[in-house]
Amino acid sequence: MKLRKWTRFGQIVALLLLLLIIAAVLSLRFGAVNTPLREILAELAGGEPLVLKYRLPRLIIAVLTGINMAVSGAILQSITRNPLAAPDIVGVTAGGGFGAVVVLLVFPTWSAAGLPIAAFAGAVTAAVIVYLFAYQRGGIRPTRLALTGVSVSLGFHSLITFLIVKYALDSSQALVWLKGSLYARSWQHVEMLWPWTLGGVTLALLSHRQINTLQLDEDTVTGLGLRIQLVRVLLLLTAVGLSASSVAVSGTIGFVGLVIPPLSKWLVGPDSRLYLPVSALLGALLVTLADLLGRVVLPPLEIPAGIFTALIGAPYFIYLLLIRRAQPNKSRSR
Amino acid sequence: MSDIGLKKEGEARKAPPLWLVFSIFGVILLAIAAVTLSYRVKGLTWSTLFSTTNDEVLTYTLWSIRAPRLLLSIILGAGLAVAGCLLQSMTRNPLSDPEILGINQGASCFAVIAIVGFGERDSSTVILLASLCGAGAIGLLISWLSRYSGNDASRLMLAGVAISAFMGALTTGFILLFETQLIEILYWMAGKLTGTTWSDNKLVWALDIPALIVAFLLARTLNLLGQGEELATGLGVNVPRVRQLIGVLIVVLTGSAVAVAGPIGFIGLMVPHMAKRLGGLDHKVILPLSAIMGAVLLSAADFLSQWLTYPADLPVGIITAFMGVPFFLYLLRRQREGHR
Repeated sequence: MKLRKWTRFGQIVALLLLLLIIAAVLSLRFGAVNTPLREILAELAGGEPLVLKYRLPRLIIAVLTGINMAVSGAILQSITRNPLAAPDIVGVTAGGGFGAVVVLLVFPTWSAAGLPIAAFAGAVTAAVIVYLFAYQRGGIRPTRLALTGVSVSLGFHSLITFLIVKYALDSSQALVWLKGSLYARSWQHVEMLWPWTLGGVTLALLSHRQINTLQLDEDTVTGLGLRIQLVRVLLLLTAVGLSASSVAVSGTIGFVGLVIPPLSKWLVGPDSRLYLPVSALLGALLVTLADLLGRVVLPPLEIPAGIFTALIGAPYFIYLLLIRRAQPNKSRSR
Repeated sequence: MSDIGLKKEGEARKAPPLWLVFSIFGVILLAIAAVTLSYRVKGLTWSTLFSTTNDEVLTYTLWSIRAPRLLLSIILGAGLAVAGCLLQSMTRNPLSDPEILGINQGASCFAVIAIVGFGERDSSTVILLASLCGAGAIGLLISWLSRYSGNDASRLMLAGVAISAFMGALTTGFILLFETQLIEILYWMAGKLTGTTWSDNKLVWALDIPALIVAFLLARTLNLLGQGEELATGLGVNVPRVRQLIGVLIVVLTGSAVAVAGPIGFIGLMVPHMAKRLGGLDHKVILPLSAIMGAVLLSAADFLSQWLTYPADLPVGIITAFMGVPFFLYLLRRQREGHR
């Protein structure tokens, strides 16, 4: 039984890796200027650095963003035992976006290094506000957490709009950034992002046992003697860091953290050792595809990747909220 | 259960007499109107106001810039507040608001499509029709989804948020695809009253006044509906028909507001609660009270949006969001477990 689980996991990971590689190659190949594969290889071998300079960092950022958002969503959903929790639902994305916009618009001088840190600070602030408002004695009801998060997000979004209007630089660029675009991302952004991804994912994988335990109900967890609140806060910070860093670099690419974790649980079951890596791969695949799609639909124009993820994610969210729940009690995956 | 609680609370606090409430808000509205019209207008004195002057700049400022904007904010405030009141009665959910349920975003998505499609030509009627269609479409979608949500209203509201996100993504997609007048649209999407003209005013007054009158006429039926659908049916109310009518009213009121001013949120959320605090539970009182309080709130917010960051003009939707989000959180916090 256990062996079969791992075999299935291996198959799925292999399949996803294959798909990701295909998507990656396609995304290097297509764009405003189509570059045939032979040329890419020639360039990699040491020719003109077009692909190396423009498309490769963009691809890497898509992959990293996908991993960050998906793993962050998986952690949040596990530790709150709430299928509605996701970085963009609990307000973390909006808070991070606000922090980033403040740095981008108000203090443009110290932008590069301060960006992820400001985003992180904003995201933590938003998370704390949401938690304080949603907290009730005896636990937080899933929909209550989500509603609080959504309204705090609305508040942060109006603050962002306020800043954009007040410091109206190039609002078109700000709009693109807000909807989550990977336009004109460079190696500098990759350097900003990868340590967060590496650290966050490592932490998440190392604490897989704790995550598994936290998915049980509260009484069992307390009974097992895990230092529950401390672990929870640490994991929460990990999730916040993952999503905040990706918001700082690539804007709000929504719904990835919401959609991917349940999907991967459906694929490989609720063991976090299995579904965390699968979530990461699926997230990377989704964002890469969304970015690719945004570039090739109407070539000279670019549609931000976040638009595609929202168009896919929002109907799924409604389905999750209302329709699946209305079906006679199929045991809900938690 | 909550209704009884509210009533007791109201009685215990000795609500002020209604005529006083109405006249106080009337006076406040007049004061705001006077300030909005005259604030920082060069050379405006009482004598020039009442004598016919030849100062063209002055007349232009007053009658072509200030007055239409003020009148529009008054009617939109009233319309949005009443729409929110109707929506809260119909969904039996104190947290409903056209902005939160996604109706605003739906209307603005359709409107943006219309703007992009019809270009620069004088297209205010087209925009109006489009945003009415958008509001109607989302309204239908919400009422279809509400069959699934059952009693749990917060799920319906989250679904509304997702609809908002979806329509917002579509809107941005369209804007980016047809990269035209970008700043204006971004501005308009945040809710603005800048550059209001008399033609906008005519359009909205013509649509909203009948809608408001119908809403006031429905007050008695709304009171009955508030007692529960079975009881209302027993008392001779054709419940499905009334709900359809209310739906149409909400669509007209919010759709017309979005068409001229973009999505302005939270007026419909906040005002009915304040009105209920002051006026009890009778819709015959709440609806007119909401209308006048909405007018006060939106015209005040618009005044702030004009002068807070002068010379830049803030979208008024941002001001209402700044007020509305804390209010929403407060309501959510006050809601007790099991009481939806």
